[in-house]
Amino acid sequence: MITVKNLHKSFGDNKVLRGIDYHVNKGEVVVIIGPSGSGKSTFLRCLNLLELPTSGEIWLDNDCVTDPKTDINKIRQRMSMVFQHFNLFNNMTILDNITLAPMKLKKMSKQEAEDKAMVLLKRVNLADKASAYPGQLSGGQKQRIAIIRSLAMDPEVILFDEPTSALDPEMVGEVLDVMVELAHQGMTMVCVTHEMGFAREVGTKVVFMDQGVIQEENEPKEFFGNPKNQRLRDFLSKVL
Amino acid sequence: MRKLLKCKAVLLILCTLLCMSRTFAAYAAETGDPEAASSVTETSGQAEVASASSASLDDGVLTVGTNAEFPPFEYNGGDGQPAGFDIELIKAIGQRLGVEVDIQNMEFDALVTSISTGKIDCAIAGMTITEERKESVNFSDPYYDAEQYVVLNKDSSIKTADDLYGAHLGCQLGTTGNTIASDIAKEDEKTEVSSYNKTLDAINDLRNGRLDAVILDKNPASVFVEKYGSEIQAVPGGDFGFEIEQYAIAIPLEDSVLMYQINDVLGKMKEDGSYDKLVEEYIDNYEPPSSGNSIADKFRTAFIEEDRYKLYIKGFGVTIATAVLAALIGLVIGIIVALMRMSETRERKRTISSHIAGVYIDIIRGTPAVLQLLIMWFIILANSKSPILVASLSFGINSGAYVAEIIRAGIQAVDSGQMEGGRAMGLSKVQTMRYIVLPQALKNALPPLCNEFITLLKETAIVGYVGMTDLTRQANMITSATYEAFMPLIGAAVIYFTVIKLLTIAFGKLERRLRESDNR
Repeated sequence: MITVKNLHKSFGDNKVLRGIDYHVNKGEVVVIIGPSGSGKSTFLRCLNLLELPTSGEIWLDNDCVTDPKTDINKIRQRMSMVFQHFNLFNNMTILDNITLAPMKLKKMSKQEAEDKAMVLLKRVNLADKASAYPGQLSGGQKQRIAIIRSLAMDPEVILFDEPTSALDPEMVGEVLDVMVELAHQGMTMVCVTHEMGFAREVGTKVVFMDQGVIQEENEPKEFFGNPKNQRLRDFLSKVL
Repeated sequence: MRKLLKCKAVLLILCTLLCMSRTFAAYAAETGDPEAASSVTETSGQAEVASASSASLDDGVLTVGTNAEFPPFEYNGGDGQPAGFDIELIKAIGQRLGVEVDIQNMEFDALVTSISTGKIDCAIAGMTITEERKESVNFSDPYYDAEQYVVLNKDSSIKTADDLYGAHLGCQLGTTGNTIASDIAKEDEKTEVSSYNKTLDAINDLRNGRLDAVILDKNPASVFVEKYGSEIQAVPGGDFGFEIEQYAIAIPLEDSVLMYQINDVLGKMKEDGSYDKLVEEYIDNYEPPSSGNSIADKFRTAFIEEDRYKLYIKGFGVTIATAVLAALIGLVIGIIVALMRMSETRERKRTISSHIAGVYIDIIRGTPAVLQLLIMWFIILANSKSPILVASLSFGINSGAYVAEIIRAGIQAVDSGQMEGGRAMGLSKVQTMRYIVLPQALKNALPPLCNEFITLLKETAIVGYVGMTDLTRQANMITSATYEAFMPLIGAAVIYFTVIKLLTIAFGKLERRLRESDNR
């Protein structure tokens, strides 16, 4: 589904990604872990072109994402993203947050979009917050809204950029629950996270990144049970 | 006699052709009628002399510029309209020419420019014939002999022409008195010249001791002496070697037909005695308005007599209309320019439109608003007949530069995650700006935007420069009509203050309500 070929990204002299090749299949839950500064967030943000790669190619099925002629807005409708800091639209109610993109981009009627939003809101038990503003919600609630805001566009894949890192510990669970449910329903997901439990339980593939390259990639059982890369072993010994 | 008439007619046709050939050629080209020019020639060829008429009268209106700060020739009548000898004279001329007379009151030094740019058909404003002015305008036959007077304080030590050298001289901007004073200053660098918009201001500064002498025309001088006889005296300019000069109506250089028509009527009025009647009624018998000296009297004169309070209201209407229109234009320009200024290429470099926006902001912020207004009025939109539109466009373009920077700051204060959030959903940059970032940016920018509007409201006070009658100018005109500066000026200040105070309270409430909705 997503194919990455020899991806490089530099910020000035700072080479953050030094050649990444990877392939994500439909229905996979790919969890990317690694120390801070390893380039994992940059990699994720390159996938939907929030960061413009310095060189290399990214393909979504048969569309070349990195080709300037490709309409990136169309790509992003198929490849949604959930952020560490939620990025809910502060000037809109929760309902408007969810219905904005479907109405503007999928030409859905207001009624249709709102009905769909209410179904999604009920799914995460936040239907009573429809008319609230983001500023009135807790972090966990905001992130659950952000996830269903992505779902409202029926994306083919969702990118998660450290979705639980900005949350108080007691709220991490409620967000992970939603993500687990999504994974079980067969959603293709690429997650940058520090939640090793999530990687082990839900991930179909786990990727370890360091110094701008993929150091090791495997199925979770093998990845955690029998790490081959020395850096990965050091890393796991610190976080587990 | 018939022969003579024919001769005159032929001459006149030649004149008409000379000065109008361009217009008609253009007309012919425009309408695609090759015979337009020749057919006009034929009709005027059959016409009588008296019925040949300047093209500027084709609309049935003679638009006349004046500067109603020069009693008894022109001053503000009780109804806020210019009155006085010149006004009566030009109305009589208009009546005999069979056209309506539309009087436009403006700054004296703007009159000549306004004639050359076609804003007005002619000007009557006690204007002395000078070689310098003749380069820009034609003059009718003189209708009044003007003598410059020197007004001095009673105890002044100035006695001869030599005493004027090294003195502080006052005059009205652009008048003959100004020329004389400037000539003295050119010869002697110790001489200081202050040019005022109104002779009354100069006289007041003479009385206050800021000036040593004021040079102005005879008639207004005698009016002031009548009013302040205990303090000041007027000395004929002949005692200082000034020459007698002549007032005439200023006419566009190319409109010799109008010149002929006006001279013709002037001559007839002098013959049949109607001219002398006007002189007697409006110059010899002119009495300056007088008022009591108590505060209550002054208040009554400034606000209540002749319903003057209505003039303040009218003036404030112009002020608020100009400011509101300008604010709207400024907001639209400001948002567009801010977005242009912040536009980036895919590689995060500034775009061409960003540079254009930067240049616009630099130019507007780097030049005075008054100059921008004058340039808009006399050069860019010289042919516009809607003063409020020209002024608010000029102020709007000015304000737009400041609003652009306010909006830019407002946008930068919006968390970058908001833009990313929108873009990651697949919304375009424009959509994200419009639905997500701009609404938040405008809320951030509301306090400085309100501040900008208040500044704008006061800044419109400079429209007096181009003859618009806003609140400030209205108050200024009432001071010259009543010979009393304190009450009208304080009154205008109180009106400005009250309105702005109310606005501040309203803006504060609006801000609080907007903040309630986001509960952060």
